[in-house]
Amino acid sequence: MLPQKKILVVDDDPEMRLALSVRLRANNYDVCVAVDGVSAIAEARKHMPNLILLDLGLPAGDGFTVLERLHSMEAVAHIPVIVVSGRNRLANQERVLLAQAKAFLQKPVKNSQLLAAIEKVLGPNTVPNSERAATIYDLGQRETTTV
Amino acid sequence: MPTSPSASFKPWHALASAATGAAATCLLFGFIGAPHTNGLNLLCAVISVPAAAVLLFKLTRTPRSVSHAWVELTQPHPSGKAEALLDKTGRIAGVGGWEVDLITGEVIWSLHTFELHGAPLDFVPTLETGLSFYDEPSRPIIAAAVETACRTGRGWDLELSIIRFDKRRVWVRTVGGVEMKEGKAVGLVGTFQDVTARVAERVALSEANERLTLATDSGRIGIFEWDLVNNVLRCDRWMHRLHGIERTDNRADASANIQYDPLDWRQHLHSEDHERVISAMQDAIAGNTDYDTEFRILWPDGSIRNIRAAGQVTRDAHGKPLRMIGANWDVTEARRLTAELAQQNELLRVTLHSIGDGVITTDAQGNVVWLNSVAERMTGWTSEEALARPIASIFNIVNYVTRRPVENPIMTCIATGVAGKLAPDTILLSRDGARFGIDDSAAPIRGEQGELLGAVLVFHDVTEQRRLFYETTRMAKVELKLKDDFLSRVSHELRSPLTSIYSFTSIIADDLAGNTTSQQQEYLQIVLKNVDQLQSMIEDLLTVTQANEGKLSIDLKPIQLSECVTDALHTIQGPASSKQIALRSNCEKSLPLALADPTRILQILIILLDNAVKFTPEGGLIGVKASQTDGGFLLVQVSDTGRGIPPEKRARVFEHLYQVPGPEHSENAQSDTSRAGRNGLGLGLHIAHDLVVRQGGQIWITGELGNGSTFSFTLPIHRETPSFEPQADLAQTTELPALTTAQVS
Repeated sequence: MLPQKKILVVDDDPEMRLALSVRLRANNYDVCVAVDGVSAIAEARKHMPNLILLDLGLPAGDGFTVLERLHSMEAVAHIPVIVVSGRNRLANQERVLLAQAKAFLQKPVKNSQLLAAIEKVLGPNTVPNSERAATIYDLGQRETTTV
Repeated sequence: MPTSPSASFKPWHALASAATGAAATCLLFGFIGAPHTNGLNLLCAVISVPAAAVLLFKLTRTPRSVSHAWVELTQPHPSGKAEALLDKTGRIAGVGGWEVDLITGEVIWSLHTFELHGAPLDFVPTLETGLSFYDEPSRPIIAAAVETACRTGRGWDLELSIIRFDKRRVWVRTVGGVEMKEGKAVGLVGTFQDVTARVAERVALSEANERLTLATDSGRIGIFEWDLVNNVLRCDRWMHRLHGIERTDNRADASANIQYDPLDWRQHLHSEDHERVISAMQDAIAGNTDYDTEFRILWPDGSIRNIRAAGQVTRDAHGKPLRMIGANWDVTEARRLTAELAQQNELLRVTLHSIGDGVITTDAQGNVVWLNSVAERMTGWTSEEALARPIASIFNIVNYVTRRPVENPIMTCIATGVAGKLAPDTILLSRDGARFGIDDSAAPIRGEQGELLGAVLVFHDVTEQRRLFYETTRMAKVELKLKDDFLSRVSHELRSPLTSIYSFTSIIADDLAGNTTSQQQEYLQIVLKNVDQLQSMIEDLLTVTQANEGKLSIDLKPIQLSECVTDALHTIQGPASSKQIALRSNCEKSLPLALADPTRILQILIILLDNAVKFTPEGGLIGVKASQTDGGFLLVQVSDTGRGIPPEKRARVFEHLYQVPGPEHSENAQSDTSRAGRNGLGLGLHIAHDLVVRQGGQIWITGELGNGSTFSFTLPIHRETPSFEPQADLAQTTELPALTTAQVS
C-alpha cells in the first residue's frame, strides 16, 4: 500500500474545511488545514503537502497572495495548487491559472469533479472504498475544469 | 311728274324764273331747318340771291326791294355777267344749281353741277338721267321727295350718295324746291353740294363715339373733363352711375355730357378723403404729377364706393393748364377682396405666430421668406434679418451625437419635391449658440399648376422630451444594473450555503458519517436532487446577468463536436435512465472541427438534453445527431419523443423566462416525478439561444405537435489557416455587448 498523499485544505469557512476533510479522508488522502493566508504558508512549510486546495477569499492575505508567496519560496514552490472558490469563474479563472494554479473549481464543487481534478494532478489514488466514495448522484454538472 | 327732256342750256334764266312763291319758301325752310353749323354761312352766301329774294318777298312788305330782286332774277336774258358770277361763286362754294321745267321737260345744270357729276359739258341731263345718278339706296328716297314736292309744293333737303360718271361715289346734299302755278307743279329748282368729306367725318366721329361708349360701358369707366378755364366739370353717363346718380334729363343722346360746377362734385366725396383728393388734383394741375388717386364716394343711398381716378392735364403753348381729362372706375370690390385677403393673411399670420411650432417658409431656391416668432426665437434670427438668406445659414442643424451637419430637410424637399422628415437626434444650433433638440418636417408649397413655389418647414422643440427620454433611459439602465448586481450577488451568496448542504448531504449519503438505511438513502437522494436544481437555477441566473453586463465570455477554438456530445450525454445519463429514456447519438465520422467554445457547447447541449428529458415521457427516446450542412455549417440536432411544441409557441420558447404553457406540458411536468415537477426559471433555452447566436450559429425548433420536438442549432466550421499558429492564438475571446434590454424581473 502506497503512502497516503497529503492535501492542505485552506478555507476560512470551518464547514467547508470539515466537509472537504471528510471527503478527502474518505478517499484515502491525508488532510491538514489552514484558516487564513498566513497560516496557509506556515502549514504548507510545516507539512509539505502533495497538493493545496486553496480558497480565494481569505483573511490575512487572499488566495492570490498565498499563490504568490508559495511560488516565491523555494521549499514550497513546487507544491501544486487547485483553487476552490465561490468567486465568479469568469472573473478569476484566468488570473488564477496565470498565478500557476493547476485548476479553478467553483463552489459548489461536485465530489466527482473534485476528485477527478485531484487525481489529474496527483495521479490515480488507490483507495479501498473509492467505489463507495464516488458520487452517486452527480447530475447537472455544468462546469468543467480547464487545466 | 314731268318727264319731257330738255336739250336747252339756260341755267340762270330758268333759275331766275323759278324763284317764285312756294318754291322759294320751301328753299328757305330747308335752309333754316338744317341744323348743321358747318358750311351754313357758305350756303347762305351761295343762295344769297334767291334766298334774299324770297325772304324779302315773303317777310318784308317792301315792294321796291322785292321788285328789284325779282326784276334782277327774272331777267329772261341776262347779260351773261350774272350767269358767270353765279357759276363762279357756285364753284367757290362747291354748290351746283339745277332747274327742271316740268312743262317743257327742259333741264338746266349749272357748271358746278356738271362737275359734281363728273359729267362732260356736252352731256344733256334730263330729269330721269338726273335721278339715275343716285345710288340704289338713295334713288327711291329722292324719287319720293320729288313726287311729294310736285304734289304738295314742299321741297326737300337730303344727304344722299350719287355715283358719278367716273363711278366714284360722292355724298351730296341735294336741296330742291317746286314751282307751282295754279296749284300745279310746273318746275323744279335746286342745288347740289358735295358733302362727302363732311359725311365721312361725321361717320368717323360717330364710330369713335360708339367705340368709346362701348369701352367705357364694358369697363364701367366714367369719363370726366374739367374745363379749368371756365371751371366747368363735364361728366358722362358712367360718371353718374359711379356716383349713384340717375340722370333725370330726358336727352335722347344719353352719352352726352352734363356740366357741373366742380364744387358740386366735391359734396359726393367722403369727408376724410376731401383734403387728399383736392391736394392730388392741385398737384396734377401744378404739373407735379399725373392725377392718380383713390377716394370714397358717398352714394345717395348712404353706401360708400371706392373709386379710382386717373387723369391728365392739357396745357396751352405757355403751359397754362386748360383742362383735366380723366377716368373714374369703381374699385369697391377689389378693395373688399384686398381687405378680405389682408384679413385672412393677418389671421394666418397670427395663427402661425401663436402656435408652439417653429415655421419657416422659403422660396423655390431655398431662400428664407418668412419666420414665425417661435422660429425667430429658436434660430435667433428675425424674419427681416433672415429674409432672402439661404435656409442653411439660419437653420443650422447637426446630429446630436456626432455634431456633424445634417442635411437640411428644406433642400431635400425642394430637390425631391416631396415632403421630408428630419432624422431623429437632430439639434438646432441657434445664432447665439443655444441648442434645441428638434423634430421637424418639410413640405413643398405648390402653385395652382403644381409648380414648386417654395417649401415650408415646421419644427418643434423636443429638448425637454429628449432630456426626459435620456434621463428615463439612463435611469432604466441604472435600475437594470442594480438589479443585475443584486441578482449576481444573491446568486453568489447562495453558493456557500448550497455548497455546505451539498457537501454534508453527500457525506451522509456516501455513508462517510455512518451507515444509512435504504429509506434514508432515498430521502438523501431527493435532497441532493433539489440541491442540484437549485444550483442550476443559480448558475442560469448568473449566466444571464453576466450576459447582460457584457461579461459573458466566448472562447472560440477549433473543437471536436463529438467530444462535447459524449460529455453531454454522459452528464444526462443519470436522469434519463431514471425515466427509462434511451439516449442515442449519431455523429458523422470525419466531421470537420467546429469553431466554438467547448464549455458553451456543452452548456447548450446539456440545456437541450435536460429540456428533452423533462418533456419526454417515461420509456421515450432522445437522440443527438451531428452533421455537416451544405452551407458550410455544422448542424447539431436534439430530438425527443415528447408532446412537441405548438408551432406558434416555438419562437417564444427562446424568450426570456418563457415556459411553454398548456395542459399537455403541465401534465407532463406533473407526471415527471424524476424532476420533482418543477419547471425552473425558464432561462435555459434563452441562454442556449444566446450562446448559439454568439458563436455565429442559429437555433430553431421543428417537429409535429404530439410527435416530439427537434431542437437544431448550427455552428461555423473551423477553417484551417495556411500559416501554423500556436493553438492558444487560435482561440479568440469575444467580449460581446449586452444581450438584450429584457431583464430578469
